Amino acid sequence: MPVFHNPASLTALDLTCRRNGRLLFSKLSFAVKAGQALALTGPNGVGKTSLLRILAGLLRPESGMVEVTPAAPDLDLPQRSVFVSSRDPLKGALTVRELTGGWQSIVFGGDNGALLSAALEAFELGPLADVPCAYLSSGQRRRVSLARLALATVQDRPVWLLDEPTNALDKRARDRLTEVVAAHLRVGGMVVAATHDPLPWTDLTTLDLGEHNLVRQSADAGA
Amino acid sequence: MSAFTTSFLALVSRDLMLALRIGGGASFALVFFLMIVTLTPFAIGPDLNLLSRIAPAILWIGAVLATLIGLDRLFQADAEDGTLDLLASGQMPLEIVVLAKCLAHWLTTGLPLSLAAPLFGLMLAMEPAGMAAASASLMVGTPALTFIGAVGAGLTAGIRRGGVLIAIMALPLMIPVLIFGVAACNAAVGGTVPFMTPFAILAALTLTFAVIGVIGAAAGLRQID
Repeated sequence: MPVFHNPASLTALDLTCRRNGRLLFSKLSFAVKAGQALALTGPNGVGKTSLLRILAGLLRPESGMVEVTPAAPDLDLPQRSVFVSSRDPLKGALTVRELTGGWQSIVFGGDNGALLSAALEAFELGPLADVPCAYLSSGQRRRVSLARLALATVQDRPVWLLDEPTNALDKRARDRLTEVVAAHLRVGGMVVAATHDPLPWTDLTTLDLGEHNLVRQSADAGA
Repeated sequence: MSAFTTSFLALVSRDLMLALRIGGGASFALVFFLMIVTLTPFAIGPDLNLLSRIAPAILWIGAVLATLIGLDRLFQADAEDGTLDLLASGQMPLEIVVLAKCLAHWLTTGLPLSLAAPLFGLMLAMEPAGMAAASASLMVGTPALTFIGAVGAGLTAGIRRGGVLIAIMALPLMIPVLIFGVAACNAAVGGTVPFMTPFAILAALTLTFAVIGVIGAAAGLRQID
């Protein structure tokens, strides 16, 4: 896979998020550059998932903006990332191959069979390909969810947004995830992951939303 | 074929597959339709003239109620398991996603109802011309029911037990469709207006609601978060 010619980046500028009248975070700015990963940490309810949804373009922030470069003129923010939320979008009546093949053709475009097989293989789902999703364990469901990461190209969707990616995964699957993430970072991709677990990833920086809020509060109190 | 068309067809076929497999409930609407049509003759008694006169109304009321039955799940299942987020970040605009899901819904509810209408018309002592008109009017009119319901389904996708809300929102808008659908059936077996007059209005209603419904449902879905 070719590496980017112009370095890619994900920039968040002065993001403020309010849900149901409650201020989650304000004036949050950060940048992730090609080949870097960012771990979002902080206590429950601090706004990690909301931040990921804002970065994915699925939730509008109260103020601030998100930018992914290099800009693609015909793609909006939701089309620039792969967002793996904490819910597994599995359909019990479909087999793993039908489901992931559907994601490939419906969401990401194209019907490259080799790419699909590679995506399933990346999370060792080959033996489960013809099993209906209803019969999968929660760890297996999680692996199927994560398999869609490998269906997109790094040019179109350089940003991976992962919400609690290691939930329900066993040691082996976590190692696979680490490898897949490392491969994505190597070709110039970016990863933002909300997590409570320490992630053994290279080039990982941590953003503690709880800490950010404390700093903001004291800054506002001082002003 | 463009990637866009491929995506659209893939979504339609995925929804059809989900509806036709166990637990999908593609047959619910048809069975419900059958129940309404079978119960009516028992309730009215053996008055064939009366039965054949009200047959178009019964078929159309049955179609409206049968369409409403599965509508609450149109977007709700996808909203609950996160598929909607995935679809929203896909290459198709949400409006086209809605159109694909409505098409799949109609193929598993409206179309079977239209095709079964002549058979059910037999039970209601309909004349052959009336049966043909019922089938044609349902074929042209039931898409409108799906599109109207889609707006309600889009607005209530984020809440549990949205089915009643959908009915309250959608039924008033379905009344014009019902009126012209039944009028077309009646016109085919006599009456003062030619068949094409109410039938053309019915077709116009479907086209209008196709646009309003798709845009409205997509706008409703964007509000969920």
